[in-house]
Amino acid sequence: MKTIRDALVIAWINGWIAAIRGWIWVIGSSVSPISFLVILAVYGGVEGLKWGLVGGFIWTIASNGIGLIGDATYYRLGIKYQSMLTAAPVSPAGYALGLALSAFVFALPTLAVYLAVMLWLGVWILTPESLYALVTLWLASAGIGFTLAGFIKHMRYAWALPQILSAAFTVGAPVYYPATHLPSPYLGVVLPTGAAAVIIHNSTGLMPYEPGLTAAAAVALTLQSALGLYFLFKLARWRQP
Amino acid sequence: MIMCQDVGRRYGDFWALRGVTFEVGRGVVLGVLGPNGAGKTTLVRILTTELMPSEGRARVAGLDVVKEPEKVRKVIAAVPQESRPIDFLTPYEFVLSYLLLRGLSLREAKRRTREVLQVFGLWEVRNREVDTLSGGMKRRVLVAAVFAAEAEVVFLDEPTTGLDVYSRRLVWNAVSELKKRGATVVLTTHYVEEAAALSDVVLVLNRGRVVDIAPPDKLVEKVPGRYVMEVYGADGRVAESKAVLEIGDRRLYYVEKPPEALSLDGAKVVVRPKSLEDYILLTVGAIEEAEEGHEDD
Repeated sequence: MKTIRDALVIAWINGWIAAIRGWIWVIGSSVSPISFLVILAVYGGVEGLKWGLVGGFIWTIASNGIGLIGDATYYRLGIKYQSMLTAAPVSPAGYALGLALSAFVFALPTLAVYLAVMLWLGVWILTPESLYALVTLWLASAGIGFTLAGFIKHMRYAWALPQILSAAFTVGAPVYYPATHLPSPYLGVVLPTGAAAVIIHNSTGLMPYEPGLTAAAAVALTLQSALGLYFLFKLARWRQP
Repeated sequence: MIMCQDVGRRYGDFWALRGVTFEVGRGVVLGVLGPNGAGKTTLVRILTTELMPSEGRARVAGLDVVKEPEKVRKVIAAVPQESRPIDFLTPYEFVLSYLLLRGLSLREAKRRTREVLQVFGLWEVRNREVDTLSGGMKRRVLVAAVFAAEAEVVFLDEPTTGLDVYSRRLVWNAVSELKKRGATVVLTTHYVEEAAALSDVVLVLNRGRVVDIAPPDKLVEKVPGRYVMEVYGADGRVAESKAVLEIGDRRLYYVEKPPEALSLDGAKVVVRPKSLEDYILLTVGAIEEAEEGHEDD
């Protein structure tokens, strides 16, 4: 309960307040996925637009976790806010989830627009399978993001790392294209974004996959989110060893 | 309230802290003095459960910092070295959110936030973004948050560095008030007069080791003589001194009483009673920066 409360307080200050005082970040968080969306719409028409919307939705959710690397590193190294919270009854999990939740707050307007356009185009993403995939993807990326942030020793790396991870997680994984384009579609479930995309592509009818692949994606995503949470609770560097 | 036994911390082959042993009780202000790299922040980070010691045992409020970190965190609060409040928040939001994160109810957190901002002279600027405040005000926001936490043990790591004289005294008042409440305060500082004025006990560290630990006046007693003559420039010789310290062109003579007649030859001379600063100068000597840079210290 305290973990959830901590997450909500962090999301309030780092998400809600930050968003209403710095609306440029709200726009900034939507620029990259929208640019992909436009390119896909131009070259792929309505079908391309659908892939762009679904891919952008997945990217935005994943970037909630990856994007927290910047905030977490700034709070730890830049202004030592994390040190202040370490010396207080605040859980690292609540803090990390709060940072991811605050990124989600930033992304809400973008996600709402995506959702509206998807529904208009008949892409029904609000299925139980897709929601499961999005929630577990969010948890997995938050765990990965916060854990990696703990290993960064210089603030300047905190700006570069999310960009590298974003590219790897969204272009390296079959987020904007079908997993069947890979040498083996099962390679697509190695990264959490790919696993989530396989489930969502299948569930929305964008790309019907064989049941074995979607089952593998579900198992992989469960393991990835469990691993992410394990890192969050056990290995995240609240205390320096 | 705080107990350290042979506490040490190593980074590779370099010992940032070693063999630190001391004990202080409830309601005590412990001043921690030492040059940069002495191990002050390393000690604070170990006691606030942020850094694992490489050896030794430490207890805060009777709780083991290694085995019971969650319990320790409930009874401590800290202003870390070089920390700043989140710049896009207002002082009100920063203090309120900190108290909510500590588990206080919204009602109680709001009450304490209002009270503490008034005490620290921040009520008038409560709705201004921290970014627009002066350095002194920003620092006061941090100290105010920790003050409002009403923790049993409070760590203030160089809380007055860079502050103007007015802001420094507001922080000093906070330390005195914390002591009155019965809290134990660990105050690291570079300002010797600050440690002398506020501390019940002073821990002097140098190169990661304890040089001495005693009340400030006991440390001052260890300085030879009663007065110090600081002579800068041409050598205004003092006939009999119990000790002499040379710092570049400056000489410090430790004497029982200042001589009546001086041959100054244009030198600048200041005569003053001996102080804790003289103890530090004589025991720690020249400020020696740590050879290796670390995240702390």
